[in-house]
This record gives sequence, C-alpha cells and structure tokens, in this order.
Amino acid sequence: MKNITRITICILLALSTLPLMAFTSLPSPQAASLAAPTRTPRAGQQIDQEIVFAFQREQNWLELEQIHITQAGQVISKGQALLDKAQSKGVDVADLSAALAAFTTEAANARTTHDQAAAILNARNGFDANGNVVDRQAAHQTVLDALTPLRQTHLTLAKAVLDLRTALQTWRLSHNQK
Amino acid sequence: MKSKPWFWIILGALALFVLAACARPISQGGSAPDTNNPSPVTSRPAAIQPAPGLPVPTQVPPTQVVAAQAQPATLQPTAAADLSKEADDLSNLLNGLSKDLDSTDTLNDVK
Repeated sequence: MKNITRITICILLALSTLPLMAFTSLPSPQAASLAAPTRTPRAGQQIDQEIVFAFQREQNWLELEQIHITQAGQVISKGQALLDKAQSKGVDVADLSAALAAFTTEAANARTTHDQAAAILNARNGFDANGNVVDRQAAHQTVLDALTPLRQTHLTLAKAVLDLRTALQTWRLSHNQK
Repeated sequence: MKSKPWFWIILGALALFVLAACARPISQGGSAPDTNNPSPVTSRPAAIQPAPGLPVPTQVPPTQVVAAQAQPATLQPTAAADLSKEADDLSNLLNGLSKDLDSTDTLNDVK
C-alpha cells in the first residue's frame, strides 16, 4: 500500500510539471525574431517598379554628374587663373601646375565615362518613352550597364578633387599662403 | 516525518516549479526579453557596406590652413593677399564639389 502511494505521488508530481515544461519550451518572441526571414516571391509588377525606380535614380545621378563635371571645369579655370597670377608674381607653381594638369586629365576621363553612362540611359533599352518597363530583362540590363560608368565617373572625380585639394593645401603651406 | 507525506509532496512540487522557471531563460540564451531595452545584438542595425568598386568615403580636411609654418615670406603683403584670395576661391570650389560628390546617391542598393 505504501509503495502504491509513493508511486502515485511520483506520477502526480511528474504530470504536474508537464504543462510547465511545455510552456517553457515555447520560443520567445525575441528568439522568433532571430529566425531567418522567409523570402516571399516578388510579383512581376513589383520587380518592374523596382527597375523603374532604379532607372529614375540613375537618371538623377547622371544629371548630378553633369553638374559635377561642370564644376570641375570651373575648378580648372580658377586653378589656371591662380597659376597665372602666381607666376606673374614670380612664385614657384611647378607642383600646383602638375596637380592641376592631373586634375584636368582626370576630369576628361570622368567626362568620357559620364558620356558612356548617358548613352546607355538615353538608349532606354527595355523602357518605353515614359520610362516604363516593356522588356524586363533588357530594362534590368540597362540599369546594370549604366551603373558601372556612373560609379567610375564618381570615383574619378572624387579622387581628382582629393588630390588637387591636397596639392593646393601643400602649395599654400609652402608659400605661406594662409 | 512519515506522518506528513503531503508536506513533502507540496515542497517537491514547488522545487520543481522553481527549477523549471529557472531553466527557461537559460535554455533561451539569457533573461526574459525586455521590450524597453532590446538586446544590443539584435537591435543593432547592419553596417552599411560600400558597393563593390566604391571606396570607403574619406574625410578630407579643408584646405584652409589652420596654422602656417613659420617661414620667411616670399611675397609682398599685397601680392600675398591677392594670391590668397585666388587660392581661397579655388579652395571653396573644391570644397563645394567635394561635398556635392559626398552627398550624391550612388545607388549602392541596386541589385
């Protein structure tokens, strides 16, 4: 009888803890948020909208790059004016002149890649006149093809500006130009 | 002691309950989630990676010279001021162009 009572008590204890264990084994919301997100397949219309959006952004970028190239031309003119004035006053401008020549070359390279991007975007392969996708694969390719020359133009200009700024700062320091 | 089995039953059940409650946060990697103070690991946004081919933007110090080195002046004051203005103009143009380039949307997320 005693043994039966003990066994019954043990079984009851074990059963009483089962709901608690089941509760504690549930994943918390925090743990659930760490699970890998499931990718829902995108509808074709959504893909087309993303391509159109990227195409518009590239066109905006192209316009901005045109402005940057124009600004680079102003830098060249202003730099040449500075060189001429400094030379007329007998100041050594060899380093600054070399830096400006390098900047001029890089600006011309940027113009070349900018024109390549403009040609790709203006061809509008895969897009209609309003910029809507008519051939998804061709439109996607247009967006990808334009990206490389756009980035190359940006990189070329950024490096050229950095180099000329450094050269100008060095020249001003060496000639006590505050 | 043998005359009070239900005392031990209740005590045992309480002990199991406490053990199970303690085991939950450990098995799930820490304390219970705090909605006001989310874990820094899960709440930290992913770092923006530059697109392939693009360098990490470099902060360029302005070309304005903070403290010129002590050197003998190479120009008369008026000529130096004249050149300084030209150099300032060029510096301002470069600074403006640099800022414009830095703020350009370079479509890093296009796939």
